[in-house]
Formats: sequence, C-alpha cells, structure tokens
Amino acid sequence: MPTPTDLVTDLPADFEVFGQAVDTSLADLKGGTTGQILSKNSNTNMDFIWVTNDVGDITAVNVTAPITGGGTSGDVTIGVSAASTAAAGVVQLSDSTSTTSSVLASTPTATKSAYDLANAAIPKSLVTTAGDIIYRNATVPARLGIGTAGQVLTVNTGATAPEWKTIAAGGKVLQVVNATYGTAAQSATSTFADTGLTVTITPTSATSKVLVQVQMSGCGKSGSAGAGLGLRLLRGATSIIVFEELAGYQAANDSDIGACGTTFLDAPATTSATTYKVQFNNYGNTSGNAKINRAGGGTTSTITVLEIGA
Amino acid sequence: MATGGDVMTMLCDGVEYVIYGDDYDSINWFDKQPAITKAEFEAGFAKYDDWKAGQDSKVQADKAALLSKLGITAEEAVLLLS
Repeated sequence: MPTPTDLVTDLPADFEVFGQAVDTSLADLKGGTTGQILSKNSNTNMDFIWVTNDVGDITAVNVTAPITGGGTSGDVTIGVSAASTAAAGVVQLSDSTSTTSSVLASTPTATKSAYDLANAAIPKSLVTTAGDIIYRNATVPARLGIGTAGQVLTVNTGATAPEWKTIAAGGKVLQVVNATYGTAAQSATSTFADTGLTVTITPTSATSKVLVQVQMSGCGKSGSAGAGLGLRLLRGATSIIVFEELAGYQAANDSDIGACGTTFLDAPATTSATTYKVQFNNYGNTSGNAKINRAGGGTTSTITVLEIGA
Repeated sequence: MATGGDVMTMLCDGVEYVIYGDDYDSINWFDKQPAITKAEFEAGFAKYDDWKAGQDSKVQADKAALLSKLGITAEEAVLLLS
C-alpha cells in the first residue's frame, strides 16, 4: 500500500492489495445460509461466525401447582399459591413460639426460643423407673428412686435432700377404725347373738397388734333375778374375750346397768381384712331379758380398733 | 311407748329369741318356728301398756300379801334385806 509521501503510486495494484486486505478482514461475514445470524466467535476483533437462528419466540407458558397463571399470548402473569397442610406453596415465616397456625413457617428465631426452653427443661430421661421422683441437689435436678414398701419420705440428716426411710419400729398407731351401733336389742336366750356392733380393719403388717376398745351402752336386764347380760368380743367367728357374763344377775325386775366395755390387745397376725364384733346373751336363757342400747335412752355403742406397729 | 322388746316380753315368755329395734323381721328365732305372727307382734304394741299395768298391780298385790303373811312392814323388809 502507498504512503502519503510516495511520489509514484500504482493505484490499481495498491487498490487490489487494499481490497484483498478488506476481504481477508471481513472473511467471517461471508458464507452463511438463509435465516442464519452472525454471532461473535471469540473476543478477537472481526471474529464472527454464522449460526442458525434457533432462539424463537415463546409460544406458551404452562404452569403446574403451586405456580399459578401462565398463558399462550400477550402479557403472561404467573404466581405461587400459598402453602397449606394439603398442598405445597409459598409460606410466611413467623417468629412466634405460641401460634397454633398450620400455614406459617417457623424462623430460626422461633426455633431458638423453643430450643432455649427445651435446653433449660428437666430432661425426661432423668427418671427411669416407676415411682422415681425429681428433686434439686446442690446444683441441678436429680433423681430419687422409689423406696421400699412402708418407707416414708423424709429429709436427710444434713437437711440437704429428701430420702426414703423405714419408719422406726414399735409403738406407732398405724390406723384407727371406728364404728357405732344404736339400735336397741333384746335377748331371751343364752345363745350368743350379734349385737350389731362390728368393725373391720385390714392390718398393714402381720406383726401389728390391734387394740380393740368397746363400749356397749344402754345395758340392762328385765324379768327374773336369774336374767343377766353377757357380752363377748369376737375376731371373726372366734371369741377372744368375754367381758360380761351376768351383768344385772340377781337384780329383780327391770334394771339399768349402764355401759359395759373392754379394752383388748389382740394379735391377729394377718394382713387380711379382720372383723371384730360384739355378741350378747341372756345368762338366764328364757328367764327375763338382756338388753343393749336400751330404747328410750337414745344410747349408741361404739367400737374402735387401732393398729399398733410391732 | 312400748318397744319391740316390751312386746316380745309380753307375748313370748319362755321363748328363745333376739330382737333388734321394733322390727318383727329382725327377730332371730334360732331356727325354731316363730312363736308369734307378725300381726300378733304388731297388735301387741297397743296392748302392752294395759298388760304392764296388770303385771305391776299383781306384783304389788303379791308383795302386800307376803308382807302381811310375814307380819312386817315394807320398811322392815328393806332393812331385813340390806
């Protein structure tokens, strides 16, 4: 190619050189086929390539749940439906730790609040056996295993923790049962019959004693001098003490005797339900009558049983 | 007011029984035939007071006859028994 200072030029030749240079530079623009478009082939200047125009128009936007909307022409709008327990979708976050919503999603803030509460709680695994109880030792919650039968919960000697302890044996009233009976009754037989005064106790230990206290009120007799009131205490069907045999005997006609009673320390040696009752009779059999809870006086007889620990 | 026991005393002298309250059905006859019926028992409440008064009169008459036979007064009899 000539320069501006050249005195002699060969324009045809120079133009041919120029034309060839242009042809070489724009070589990438040549070729191609109908419908192709020019595309950059690299970052180098004038480096193009013909490519098939395969990027066509969108002809349809089809959606499936939870995406909503779509279409085949014009402006197309799409959205996302809200999530529920029945369908997936977009959810709202919440910091709440008290909501009962079924559509909100928990944030890490809410999760941490719940975690902090759980982390500060007494772990369920602390107790392992039926009857375990939880107490606080000097620093943290601790387990106290169940005691043995009959033990009581008390405070240890250092007054630092609860503990199960066996009750000191002997002399303790373990239970008291009482009964009353106020119906007047009259006997004209020497055969003992129930007075109606009865009580049942179930000892907690076979080694326990049972202290029975009886007061038969309104005792009396009527009829001949040979009549007399007899009273006895029974455990079940066994007579354990006769505490009156002929009260009022030799007294003529009607006689009020008053109250008759006994205190008896029994050793039933059982943990089964045990019934104590009082029976009465008339010493003189059909001669006169023996009476308890005499009518007109409104008296009431009592029986009290106390279980005494061995 | 008569009680069930009073009625039994009046009607069943020499009979073995135990009665609870004023209830005929409570009477224990000790496996023997009942000495009286329920109707007789219930009728006895109305008759008891007269029967008792008669009994008391008879006792007083017997005492007076005995004192007369012994030739002492009632006070002397008490002193004798004290």
